[in-house]
Amino acid sequence: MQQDVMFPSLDSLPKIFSLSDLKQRLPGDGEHALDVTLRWLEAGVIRQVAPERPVFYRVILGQPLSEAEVLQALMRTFPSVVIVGGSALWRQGVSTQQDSTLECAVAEPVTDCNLNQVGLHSRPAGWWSVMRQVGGLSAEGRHGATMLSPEMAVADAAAFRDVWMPDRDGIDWARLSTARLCSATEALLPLRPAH
Amino acid sequence: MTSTRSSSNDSLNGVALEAVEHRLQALSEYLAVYRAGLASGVGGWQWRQVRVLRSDIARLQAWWWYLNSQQRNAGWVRWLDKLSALLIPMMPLKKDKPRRRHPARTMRRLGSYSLVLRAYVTLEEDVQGQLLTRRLTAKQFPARVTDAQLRQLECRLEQASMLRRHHLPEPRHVSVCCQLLRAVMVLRQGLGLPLPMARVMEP
Repeated sequence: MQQDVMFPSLDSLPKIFSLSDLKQRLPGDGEHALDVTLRWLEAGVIRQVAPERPVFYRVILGQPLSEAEVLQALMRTFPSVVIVGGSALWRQGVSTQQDSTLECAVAEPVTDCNLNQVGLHSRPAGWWSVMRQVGGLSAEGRHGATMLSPEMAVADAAAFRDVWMPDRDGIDWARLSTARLCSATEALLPLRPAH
Repeated sequence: MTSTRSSSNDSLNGVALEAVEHRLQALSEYLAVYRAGLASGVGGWQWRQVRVLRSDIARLQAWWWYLNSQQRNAGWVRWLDKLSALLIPMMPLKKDKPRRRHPARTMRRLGSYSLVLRAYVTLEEDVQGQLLTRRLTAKQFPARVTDAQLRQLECRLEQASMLRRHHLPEPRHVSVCCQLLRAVMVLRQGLGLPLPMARVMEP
């Protein structure tokens, strides 16, 4: 019985959880949370969403995380996460080619992520201000996460050249506004890295 | 003995400043995304999030100013402490009320004390996250992590936990400081005077 109190069942935790979620389930001041988490990490039954972050996901064989869970994990780990590139185009029905990795931009310089199906890309200071100035986000989000508008996704991919994009023929250009594409490209010009 | 205690307090004050800066950075990132969303016509519920975040950031900036000035032994901090001690008895003690239910997607408006406490807890958990990564690496690849690195992180964690457990100020004192300093900051901004701001990278 005592064993159960000291080590809560992993099944009682949600698929995505943080250290504070675990501490709430442990008696006392959450002193044991670190030991319990290290044991689970060593056993390979949980993983950190990104190195050094106190957010974890449960590893269940044959049950990969759903897209909603992946996005939830990302939003809890990186406050600034935005879906970009071909992933934003596919999810808005502007591309005929589906992405194999979820392309996301974050404000932090860290791009390491333990989620296999995610590609993290760092964006410079000022990028989110540009999104605000030109209204570069899509009005429809994805499971609570924000996404670039199709025009901004194309302009951003052209400016930074670090995200997966479908072939030119795979994009439904008729659904893109030329005016918005031009303003998005112009707005991103000052942030364009030297290639 | 006094000098040891004073240097320990200085170091804890440094940890507190780091915690507040760390939290301000995260809140600024949330704010940047919400503001960009609002400008792009994303759901109307986000305006409330933006308002809550702005208020949280302003109060945390005020608390950062207090801590920073305290570390630099600014004379006005003592006067503010005295004024706070006079005002505290006039402030009603908050009773534990059941929280109002909010729609799932809106943020809760936190009191100044809860805001500061959350900043301290977040720093502690972030250090724990770093320690877990290093300890796991040390077990799997012992050559990649040195004992000194682990000890350094353990020391940081101890300081962060000590800050949360034993050095949290009185809730009403935090509230008075945040409200008064926030008002001063608004006044300074109105007069065009430079604002004491934490080092937060605008995303």
